Amino acid sequence: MKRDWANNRKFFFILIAALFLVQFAFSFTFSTLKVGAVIYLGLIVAIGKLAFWDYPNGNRRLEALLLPATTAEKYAAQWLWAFVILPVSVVVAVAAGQFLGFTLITLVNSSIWINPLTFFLGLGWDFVFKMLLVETVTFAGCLLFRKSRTLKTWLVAAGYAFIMFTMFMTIVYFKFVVDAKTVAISTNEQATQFAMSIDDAMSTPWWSSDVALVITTTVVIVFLQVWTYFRLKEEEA
Amino acid sequence: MIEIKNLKFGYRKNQNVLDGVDLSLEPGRIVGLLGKNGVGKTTLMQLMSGVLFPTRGTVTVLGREPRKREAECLSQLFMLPEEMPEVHLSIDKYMKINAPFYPDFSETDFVEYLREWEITDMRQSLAKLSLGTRKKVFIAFAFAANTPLLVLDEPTNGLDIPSKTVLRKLLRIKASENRLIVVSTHQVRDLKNILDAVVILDNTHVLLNADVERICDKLYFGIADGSENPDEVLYSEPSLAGTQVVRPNRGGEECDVDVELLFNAAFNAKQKFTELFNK
Repeated sequence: MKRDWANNRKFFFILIAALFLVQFAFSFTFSTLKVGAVIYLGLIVAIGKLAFWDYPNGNRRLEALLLPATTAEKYAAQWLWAFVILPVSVVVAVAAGQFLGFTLITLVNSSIWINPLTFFLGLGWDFVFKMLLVETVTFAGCLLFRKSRTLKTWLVAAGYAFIMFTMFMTIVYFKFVVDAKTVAISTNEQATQFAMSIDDAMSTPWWSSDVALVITTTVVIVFLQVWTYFRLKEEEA
Repeated sequence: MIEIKNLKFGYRKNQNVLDGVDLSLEPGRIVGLLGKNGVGKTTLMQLMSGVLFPTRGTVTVLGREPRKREAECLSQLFMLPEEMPEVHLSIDKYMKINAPFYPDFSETDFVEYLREWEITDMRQSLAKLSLGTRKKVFIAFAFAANTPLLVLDEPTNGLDIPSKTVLRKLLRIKASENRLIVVSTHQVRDLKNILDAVVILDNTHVLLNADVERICDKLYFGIADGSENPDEVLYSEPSLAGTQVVRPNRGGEECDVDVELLFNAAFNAKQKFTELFNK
C-alpha cells in the first residue's frame, strides 16, 4: 500500500482537491442528484486510475507480479484503496466542499440555514449499494482491460445493461403476445395493451422491491469481486 | 536450486516456445543463458520467476513452485527485466518501499554498490536518471536484496564500459556467496571469463547445458596450428592472431572457453556438437 501511495499520491491529491472545488463552486445548487453524480464520477475516475495501476504497463506489471507478497495480500491492498480509502476520501471531499459553500452562503444571508448533510441523507440507503456496484464494476474492469480501462469498462457495462434491458423487454413482450394470441403489434389496442403490460411489469414487486435491489447488487458485487481475485491470481507477465 | 522438468510453454496454442525442457541449476554459479533472438530466453526466465505459467511440466525453485507466487518463494528470487519500469520516486524512497519485501536486503550493500557506479545522491528521482544510470540502480538493488536466486535479463544493455567492469566484479562477489545467478545476454563478450556454466536454447529445447569445466573437457578453443583435421573442426573464424577454431579436445588440452565461439560452434555444427556432449 505504501508503494501505491508513493507512486500515486500526486494524482490522489489533485483529484480530491478538484472534487472539493467542484462541490464548493456549485454548492448553491441544492441537489442530491448533483451530489450523487459528483461522488459517482469522482469514484469512477479515482478507482479507474488507481486500482491495479501498475498492471496495464508490461514492465510495471512484471514488477507488481514479482513483488514478494501473496495474491491475497496484493488483492487486499487494492481492495482497501478501492473500497475504503478512495470512497471515504471522495465523500469527505464532496461533503467538505458542500459544507464550506453553505457556510459562505449563511455568512452572506444569515436567514438561510440548510444542513449540508441533508443532501447526503437525501441520497437514501440504496445509494450505498449503487456506489458499491459502481466501485466493483470499475475495480474489475481495471484488471480486465489494459488500455483506456475506465472507458472500456463502462462501455461493456452499458452494453451488458442494454442487453439485460432488451431481454427484459422481450420477456414482457412475449408475456403480452401469449395474452393477445398474436405475434405482431398491429392495432392501437394491441399497442396500448403492450404499453400497459410494460407498466405492469415495471411495477411488479419482485424486481422493483428494495429486497430485489439488495439481492441483485450483492450477487453482482460478490461475483465480480471474487472474479477479480482469481483473475489477479492468474495474471501473467 | 532450480529444477525444470519436461517444461512446455507457448504463448499460442500449437506454437510452443519451449517444449520438453529439462534443466537443473545449482547454486554458487553464474549461468549464461544464450540463444538466438526470440528463442525463449526471457520466457524461460519468467517461467523460473513464476510470472508465466507452464503449459506442462514443472519448475521448482528452492523446492517451491514459483507459479504459486507464495511470498516466501518470491522473496528468495529477484528478476531484473531487460527494460526498467519508469518509477517516479527517489532512489532512497524506492529502497525504503521495496527493501522490506526482501528479508536479507542490506542497505549498506546497496549504498556500496551504487558508490561503485559513482551514484552518491540518493535523493535523485529515478525518472530523471538516464537509462543506464537507472539500470545501475536496479542492478544494485537486485544485488543488495541478497536473494539466493538472481535472474538478470540482458543486464549489460545500456551500460558503458567501466560500468560493465563493475558489473562483472559484483557478479563474481555475489556468486561466491553461494547464490545462483542466471544471466541472459546477447553481448557474450561482456561476460567473458565470468560464466561458470552455459545453457544454450535452440528451437524449443536446450541444446547445451554444461559447466565450463565440462566444455573445456570436450572442446578446444584456440588458434589453428595446422594440425586440425577439417572434418573435426566445429567452427572457425579469422582473427588478427590467426584462425580461431573450435574442435574436440584431444584430451587434457588446456584452454579458456570463448563463449562467442562456443555459441557459433553450437549452431554451425549442431549434430556433431550434440553428439560430442551426449557421449
